[in-house]
Amino acid sequence: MIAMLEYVHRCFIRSYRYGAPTVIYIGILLLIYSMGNNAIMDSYAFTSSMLFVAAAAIGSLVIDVEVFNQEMATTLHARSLVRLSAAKLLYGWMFASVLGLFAVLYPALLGRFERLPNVEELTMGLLYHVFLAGLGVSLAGWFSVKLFESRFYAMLGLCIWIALAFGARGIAHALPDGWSGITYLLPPIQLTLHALMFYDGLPTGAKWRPLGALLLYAGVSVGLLLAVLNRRRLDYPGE
Amino acid sequence: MDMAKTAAEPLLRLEQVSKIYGSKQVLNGISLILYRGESLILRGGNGSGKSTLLKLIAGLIPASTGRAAGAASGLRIGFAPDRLPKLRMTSEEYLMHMGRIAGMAKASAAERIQELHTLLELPAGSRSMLIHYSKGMLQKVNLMQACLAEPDLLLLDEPFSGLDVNASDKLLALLHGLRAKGTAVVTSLHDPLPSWESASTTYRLHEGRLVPEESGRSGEPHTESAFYELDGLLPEFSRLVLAGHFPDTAWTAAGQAVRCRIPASDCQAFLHEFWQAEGTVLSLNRKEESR
Repeated sequence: MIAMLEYVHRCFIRSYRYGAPTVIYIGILLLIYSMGNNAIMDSYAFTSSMLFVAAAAIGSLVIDVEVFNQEMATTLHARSLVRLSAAKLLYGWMFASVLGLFAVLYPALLGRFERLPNVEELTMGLLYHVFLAGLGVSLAGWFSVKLFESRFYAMLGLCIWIALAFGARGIAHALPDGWSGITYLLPPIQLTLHALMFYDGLPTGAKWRPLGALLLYAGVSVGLLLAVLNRRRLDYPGE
Repeated sequence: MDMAKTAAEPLLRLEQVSKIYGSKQVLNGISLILYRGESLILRGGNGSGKSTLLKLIAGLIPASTGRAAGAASGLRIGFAPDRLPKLRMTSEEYLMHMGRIAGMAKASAAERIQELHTLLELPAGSRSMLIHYSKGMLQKVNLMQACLAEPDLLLLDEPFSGLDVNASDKLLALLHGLRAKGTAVVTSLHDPLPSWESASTTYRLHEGRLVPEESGRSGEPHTESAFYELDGLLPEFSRLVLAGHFPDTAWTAAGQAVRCRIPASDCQAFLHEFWQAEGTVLSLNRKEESR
């Protein structure tokens, strides 16, 4: 796995594909923290949800970092498309998590909050960022040229899914009685946003529950994705 | 298609394998048994399904129907696709990554990479990235990655494409060496390659079916026949002798200049006598004729 991670890292870094999502995300951080006195967990709510979007973009770029011929050769060396794809998703998560670490530490170290965050706030802030990064990457794996005719449709699908995730609460209210449960199929972004925005007033269990939901959703998403890839192998729809 | 071979266990077995994309049936009822040290050549026109069959044998794509056994049971498979993309890595970086991913120790991978660079005459230690490589140089790297871990089964999609004569000879030497060690080699080829064909069984993909090359001459359902067209120089006396030895060859002559249409089955023997008669080959092209 380490050999595959090293290879994916070299491919990704030298492709410069990381540029757009990384620069945009860091640019957003610099912008919102250009002024001081920010509320700690409210800020983390915003930056973690933005990281979810950035991680989705990063995951989408990492999973397709190899072109088809290159991926065929690598798959045979790795002896498994599932292992190679898992390595790519893991790398995407690690890359996005580094951005999450930056998002948590940068304002704390530069004094951009209303006060110095305590250890619990820093830890939970980091966990929310890292888990949301994982969620973003796990979703992105579905929206790649492996399962879509073209990159355009894959990115369009990913954008729609992300928009639906952010609008889950509104969708639930708009749906007829008895149908709101269907929004549980959407990524649990609203749950995490709510937990971070009302962090101080929540009991301990309610602070951890969204993390469990993220872990469960991302785990199921990755598991299903790898099962589908194992079945389809490199039978790309665009090929 | 049963190919009775030695008592060795088959390396790979395809049973009535078909591959369908949408409404197009690319492969239709392919059966094939492959043994260690065996060499197969796949021929066929563009879009005939050669690359699809190679991918299917490699286990990279699933069959629509039928059964492919062996590829998923721990076989070490080397695969050279029709072309390697231009990567932002040096050849050594790329090959080291592939070797490490394949589970090779760093030292043995480095040694093997050096050996392959020497064998295929590509400068080792070059700091030039693959994006700056020519087509032939990229093809050498492509072939090196496929042969890196000395595979049980080597699948090559147009391996001689882009290689000069010298590099082709080096590759042939490498392939013969791997075969001698027990590697089975499946190659898709467009151009004639008598020295490799003589050591291989040749099949033709036609309308999704795999047909032994020889069967075209024995009247099996096969609508294309292969022949070679040779342009060269040959003294008139020698031409008469060769015409006597090869009555199926059609001749057009103007002085010493000749154009011969040689049936594929006679090509090797014909060329041997042509050269012995001190003929000069100006060009030799493989062609196909629909019946």
